[in-house]
Amino acid sequence: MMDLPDEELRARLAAITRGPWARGVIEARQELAPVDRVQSSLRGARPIAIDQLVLSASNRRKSSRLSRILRAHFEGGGPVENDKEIKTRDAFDQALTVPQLYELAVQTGYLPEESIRKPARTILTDLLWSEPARRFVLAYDYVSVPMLANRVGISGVASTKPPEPNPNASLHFAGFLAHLRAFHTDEHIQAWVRFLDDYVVEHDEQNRLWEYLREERQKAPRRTGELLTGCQVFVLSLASAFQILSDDELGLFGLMHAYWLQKFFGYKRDRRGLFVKDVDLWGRTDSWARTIATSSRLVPVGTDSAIEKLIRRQFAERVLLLERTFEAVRRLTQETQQTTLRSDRLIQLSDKGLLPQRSTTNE
Amino acid sequence: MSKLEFVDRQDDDLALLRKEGGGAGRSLAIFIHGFLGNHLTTWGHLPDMLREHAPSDSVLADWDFLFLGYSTRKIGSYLDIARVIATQWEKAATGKRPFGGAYTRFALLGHSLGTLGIRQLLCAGVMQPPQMLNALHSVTLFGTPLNGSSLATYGRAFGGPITGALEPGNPQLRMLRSWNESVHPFLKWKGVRVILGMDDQVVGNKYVDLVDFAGDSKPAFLLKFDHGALVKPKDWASSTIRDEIVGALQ
Repeated sequence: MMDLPDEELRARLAAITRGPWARGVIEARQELAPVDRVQSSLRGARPIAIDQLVLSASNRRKSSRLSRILRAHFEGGGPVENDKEIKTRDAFDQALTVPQLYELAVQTGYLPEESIRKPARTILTDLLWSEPARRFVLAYDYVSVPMLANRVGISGVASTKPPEPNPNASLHFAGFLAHLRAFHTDEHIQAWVRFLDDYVVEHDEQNRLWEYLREERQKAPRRTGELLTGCQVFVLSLASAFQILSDDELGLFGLMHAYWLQKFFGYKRDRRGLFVKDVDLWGRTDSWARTIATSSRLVPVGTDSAIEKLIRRQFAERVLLLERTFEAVRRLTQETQQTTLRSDRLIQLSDKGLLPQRSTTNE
Repeated sequence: MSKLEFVDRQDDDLALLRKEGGGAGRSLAIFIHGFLGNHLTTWGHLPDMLREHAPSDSVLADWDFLFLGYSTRKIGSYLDIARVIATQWEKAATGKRPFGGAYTRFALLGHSLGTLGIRQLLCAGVMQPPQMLNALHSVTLFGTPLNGSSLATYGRAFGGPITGALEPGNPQLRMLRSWNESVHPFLKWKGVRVILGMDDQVVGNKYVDLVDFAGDSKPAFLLKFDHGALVKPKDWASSTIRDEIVGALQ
């Protein structure tokens, strides 16, 4: 394995820990922290069976509260609409960026395994001491997180074996990391992904935009220009990141954006946590990707026809790459859910009586 | 032969590929990206290829490679890009961190908007690090907007204030060309190699006969690529893009 100078090592670790998601790490640590310290020997080098930790009564109560907040929404328990719950889940999602990046950094040879061992054990035990937090990680396919846990000697998340590092891919990781840092701070992209995530500023905004783009409505919603700009920067940013990745890297890197790709291509999770087309909302073929790519209103009226053609071609090519990446993500999710992760999880949850009550309706 | 060492500084938007412990007395090729680009992904697999192949290439073995970036929306004029380049050049020429020693020879390679930042640095003498033109080995501009880009009007919402400086015939570009023409007789930088894409619909290639920047080598080169692909070699052995880069550093 490579031997990085100290200065380089520090710079690379800081690039991961001090990204735009750093605030989420602080918030998640505050929100998810145990009431009592869980175990003093966690910081050492010894193997940690995180699912075997003996929790105090206060921590058990906290864990119970977290099981509501961090529930897998697709498994029942109702949609997540409470502001506090959303805030905690968002912070946790942001915080999980760090362990995911640690794992990808090791897999690509960007960081040596020994350099992330201590910080990874610390953040994983801080965030995943509770069963609901570990369940959240598995339910929402943070596939790299259990890989990292096993890599650094933490058992009890899932038995996913981490792959051997490829020492030749560190530049891919660096390019992706630069993209991710920009993605998280780009105001146009953030406006668009918040819209995808149902943050709207006028009544029925999503439906109105969809109708407007299909020319079923003449009056454009107030934010049409802003949202179309955001969508195009979103597509450009993701495509530029994915185009340098090899086919076998697309799935793992794409997972970092799985949530947004799912929304963009009109998918949802079924009760097994797998991505399926959201037929109720989009029908079999429609999605934001398709609606926007085929809309005559993607390009402003009066644009030169050669320019319009170019813009449409570039957009379509980029969307195609995003689609290919999302396919790789779905394949990876399916593989992991069907093998170890799912069976581990169901056994664990069933043993502990923690399986959520399922309704009888099928999705 | 071992690969080049990779120095990553995400906070400074730069990636340096260098001979292990390198720097002192070596040559540095600086790459600067274009509109809404990223200091690494803009160049496709080129950084990977240089890292692997440069040490065993008779021309490239003396060179280290700096991929430099900037946030497009934070850029107000070509001067801002020129300053980004000048800052890292000065650090490299004096061996400041993260550079491991003082580089003595430089080459500038840009793509699209980045090429206008390079042109600006060449003619803005007050911004140049000491002895810059003496240490300048070559300048190569891929997909340079000789007369802006017809896409720029459409991109105004995306890219912030610099987008206006990409519109065809915009005042900033006209000023740059006039500035360039005025100072070239005195500063006399090395011939600038212009490489355009035959399929480039973003900046086109038709202005090559109409818009003349003083100091550009003639003729311009035309490669069979579109605007983005013009700086993304597919393979090392047979790539014409590689040939241009090797030619620039020869």
